[in-house]
Amino acid sequence: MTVNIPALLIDQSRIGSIVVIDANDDSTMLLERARVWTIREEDLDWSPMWLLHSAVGKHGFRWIATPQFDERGRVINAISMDLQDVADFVTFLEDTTVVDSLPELSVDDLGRRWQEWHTHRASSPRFLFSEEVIKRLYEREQSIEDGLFFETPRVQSLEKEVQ
Amino acid sequence: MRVHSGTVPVRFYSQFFSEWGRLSPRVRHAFTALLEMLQADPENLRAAAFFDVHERQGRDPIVAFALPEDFVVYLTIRHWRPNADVKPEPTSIDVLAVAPPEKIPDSPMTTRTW
Repeated sequence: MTVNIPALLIDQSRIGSIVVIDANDDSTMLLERARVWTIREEDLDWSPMWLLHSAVGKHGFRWIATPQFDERGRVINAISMDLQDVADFVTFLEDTTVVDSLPELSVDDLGRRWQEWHTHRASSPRFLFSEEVIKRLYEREQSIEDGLFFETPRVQSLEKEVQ
Repeated sequence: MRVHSGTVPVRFYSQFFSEWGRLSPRVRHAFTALLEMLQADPENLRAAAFFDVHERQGRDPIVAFALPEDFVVYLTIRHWRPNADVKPEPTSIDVLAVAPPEKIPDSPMTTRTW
């Protein structure tokens, strides 16, 4: 049994793993030359940003597909999804206790909880740029413009510099 | 047309050192991954998850990126314009805040603290 879950699909044959399928072009091509990444359960701690960075930067794909399997486990269909959907889904995994209960969840259960979360989230306003936030950001920007900043050419060295 | 090449330096507001210590390893990891991506090419922001742009007349826009644990990083990319046909070389990425939006601390001190 399959359920369309944007971008990522829990493969019940490998409980606890998430399978990401490369879909560089269109879903038809995907079926012929799919590459499968298995993200280990312990790596679910990756942030959405890191996952996307890894996907785009390392593996070079921009589209990820939702595969559908038949009863014998063969891929019978795939729907390309863009990266925003991937990000949404990973955030869903992080924001809920779904990851903790993956072994017990059916794909149907997962799909239902995804839909509930997505519906709730879509109705929840986000305040990334409220008036108060903008005010404080302007103050910090002024601080930098006044020369109160430090600079690093490579962010990888940040931890060392802070120490 | 884009003329960017090389690595864009990152500037941090003066109190970032003290605030960095309060970030979890998970947030730090996501933050540095994001910055590395932007340093390599600011145009990479289009591939990032959950970003929003606050446009400003005649000034560089402020860009917000969602990080784990409800944190958001706010930054400006100097001389970068999201919709310009010709994109000049960005001179720096200025990190303004790394905090949940409702928990951005008060204005930084106005004297050097390091």
